[in-house]
Amino acid sequence: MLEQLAVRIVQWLDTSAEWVVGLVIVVGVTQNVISLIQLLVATHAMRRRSETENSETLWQQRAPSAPPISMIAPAYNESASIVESTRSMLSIRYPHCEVLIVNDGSKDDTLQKLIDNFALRPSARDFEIITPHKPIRQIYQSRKYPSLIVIDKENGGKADALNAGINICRSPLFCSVDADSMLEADALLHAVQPFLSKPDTVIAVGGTIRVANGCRVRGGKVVSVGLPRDLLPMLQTVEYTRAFLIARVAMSELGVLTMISGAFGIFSRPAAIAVGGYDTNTVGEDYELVMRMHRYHQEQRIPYEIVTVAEPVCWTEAPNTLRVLSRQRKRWQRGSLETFFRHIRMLGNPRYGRIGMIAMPFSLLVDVLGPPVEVLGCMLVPVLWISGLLNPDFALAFLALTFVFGVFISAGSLALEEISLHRIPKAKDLLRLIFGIFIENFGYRQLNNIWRIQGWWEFLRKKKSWGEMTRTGFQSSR
Amino acid sequence: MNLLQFIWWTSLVLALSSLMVMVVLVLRRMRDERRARQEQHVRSVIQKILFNYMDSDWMSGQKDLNNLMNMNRAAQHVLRKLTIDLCHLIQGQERQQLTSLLTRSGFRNECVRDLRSRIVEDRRSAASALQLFSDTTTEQALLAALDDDDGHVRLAAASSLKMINALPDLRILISKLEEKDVLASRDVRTLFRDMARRKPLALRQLAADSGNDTQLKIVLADAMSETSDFRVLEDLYRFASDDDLDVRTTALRSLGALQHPDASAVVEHSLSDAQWQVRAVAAGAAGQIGLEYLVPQLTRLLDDDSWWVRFRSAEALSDLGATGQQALRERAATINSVNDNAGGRMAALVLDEHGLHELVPFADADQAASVSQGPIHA
Repeated sequence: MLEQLAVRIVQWLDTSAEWVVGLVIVVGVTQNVISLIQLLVATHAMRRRSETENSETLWQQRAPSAPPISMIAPAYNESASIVESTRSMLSIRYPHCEVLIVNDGSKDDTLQKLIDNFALRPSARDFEIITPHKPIRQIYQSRKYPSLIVIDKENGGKADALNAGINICRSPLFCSVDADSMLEADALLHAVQPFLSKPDTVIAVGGTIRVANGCRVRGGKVVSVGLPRDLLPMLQTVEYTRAFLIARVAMSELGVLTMISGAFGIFSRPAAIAVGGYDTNTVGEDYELVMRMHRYHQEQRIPYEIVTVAEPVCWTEAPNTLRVLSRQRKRWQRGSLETFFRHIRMLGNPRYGRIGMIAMPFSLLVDVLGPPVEVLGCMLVPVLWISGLLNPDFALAFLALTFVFGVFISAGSLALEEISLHRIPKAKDLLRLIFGIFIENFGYRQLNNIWRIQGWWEFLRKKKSWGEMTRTGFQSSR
Repeated sequence: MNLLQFIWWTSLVLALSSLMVMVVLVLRRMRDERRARQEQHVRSVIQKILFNYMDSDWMSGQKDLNNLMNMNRAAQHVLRKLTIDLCHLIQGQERQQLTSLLTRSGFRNECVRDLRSRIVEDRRSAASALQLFSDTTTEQALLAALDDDDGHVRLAAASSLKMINALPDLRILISKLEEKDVLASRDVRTLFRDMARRKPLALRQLAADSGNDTQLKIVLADAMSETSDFRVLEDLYRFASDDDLDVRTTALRSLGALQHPDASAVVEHSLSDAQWQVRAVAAGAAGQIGLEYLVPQLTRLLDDDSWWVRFRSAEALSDLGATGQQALRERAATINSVNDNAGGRMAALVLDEHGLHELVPFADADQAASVSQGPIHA
């Protein structure tokens, strides 16, 4: 009797092991195949993109027809970098541009720094309440720079601050920017191009985000590009290059772009208002807004396009401690899950076109199933190997393939960056990035997966807070 | 080959490919760095010769020209880039000198050849670069590019043809742009605005033939804002009463920009349009034109249901000098509490925004919390 039970248990373990390994392999292979497809599509798309025009030519070509844009930058406890980033926004080369900084109830001296450095005076600017947000305490206008508006409001989170900005801005387009980011002078002139070519259909455009740690910053501008000296920001540089030059470009090319980073994205104000603005009940408000825009336009059968442009560069300060990075990644994971489950009815639903049939299954694979399956694989494969339930030759070969595939995709993104954008300053920086590509597979990726699992757990516990983001400010960059 | 071998071979191929890509990238970058250093030196030398050439008389200019033409291939590339940059900055005789230099360096022929490239972006940038040359060969090549498979190449060719004053008949141009569905592009508006300055009559003829083509009417109505020929007013009046909302608002925007007082009747009529967008633009136009007699209507619109109509009306009143501002002050003076009428609040806020009357925001927290409703003490 006991013998039979033992045999059954061993059989069950054996079958389970086969299933688990099978699942890990299927998910892993599918993710790799998708990455390969993305690399090919992105390469094709980047070949077609135009040569970077010089600043003067760009201005001559685009300025006459460029529609007004309001830049909205929510700021919460951004005292360290707010002055530099505001200067950066004010120095943008664009014909009609106003800058709205939304102080979202900061506990530090963010507002005072703005008042002191930009000679702010209380303003009575009127606006219409279209998207809901927490009460505004005061609106300020700069005496020095008439295009600078500062909104001081009660704390309500990033989405809430952006909604306040949407209400107060008066331009047909608004650009959401993180207050800890710096835009390149021509970023808006580059990014506005899709709105010029197809003003009736384009409703949102995303741009490329780069890691600013290691760059030399003066007067809110990156004056000399450099790679981060610390390992953690350097590994994030590898990640950002891969994400923005491969994944987003490819998804945009295929018409399934569901993510425009909150750090830099231009939106049609009427289109954002039509879907009710940002959702304040999620920490992934940027992803959620884009998904809602897709959903609304698909349901109403309104022709639209949401695209990304590889060139416009927004520099952001990447977390350089594990504690802060883990918070950011957990939050990203939570945001992805919240958005996915909020729009789950689109999954596999042909009514939602490519978004339902391609983008949502992709999200299921990468955001929903990806982290648990990868962690499960990492945990179970050695156990099964030791217990003899797994063929060691296959396990080793599969691990090698996974590692090499990751390196191959990253090398591809580096090649795209080198050929089309050329933003890595020196050959030795290139070598350091290559080093990063190799070592990210040993510890960093696994850590990321653990944080994502924690994000899953926080999602299940319905955690809503953002967590503190500690900034050192651009002044302390190299 | 079994599955295990296949996995290992795949890994090996991927590893070798990655390694090769990385080595090539690093070597390429090292070469580029060396080239960039050389280029910087060459650039300063060329810049000197180029400025000499532009300043010099014919004889010594020929010497500079020969110096430039005898440079090696890499230097020719630098010369070309520098010359194109300069061409965008200068006009007249000096620009002609530079373009002849570009022609001699083979750049024009290269662009003409690129117009037949399989890559759309190459064709578009070639069409755009050809605006630097105004000879027959360029003209013919650009005219042919108006039949390109891609709409944006056609548009770039049209822009270049406009720059060299060689645009074909506008009806033909319109049909070629419509064929590729690029009439909605903002670049088309820029193109037509420029034409409105040069050929207002041609635009009028197109307007007469526009029929039910909404997109064309929008382009024409928009372009007419740039003309100095006030005969276009008649067309704009017609567009201002079009069935299409966008045509009406575009026409009214242009009427505002032209600031001709004859447009008063049309603007006045549009102030009571059923669509709020039209009322808002009409209010703006009234302010731009300076139609003081419309102050009572604009004051009434301060109580419109639409925030934009209220805002544009208040702005228009503030633009209408003493009479308009007085009307705003009177309305602003009628508000006493945070929940007062929207029109009065708007009047007070616009006065403050324009620096015409300093307002004191509520100080205590309860009132401040409701600033988001727009309450401000006058």
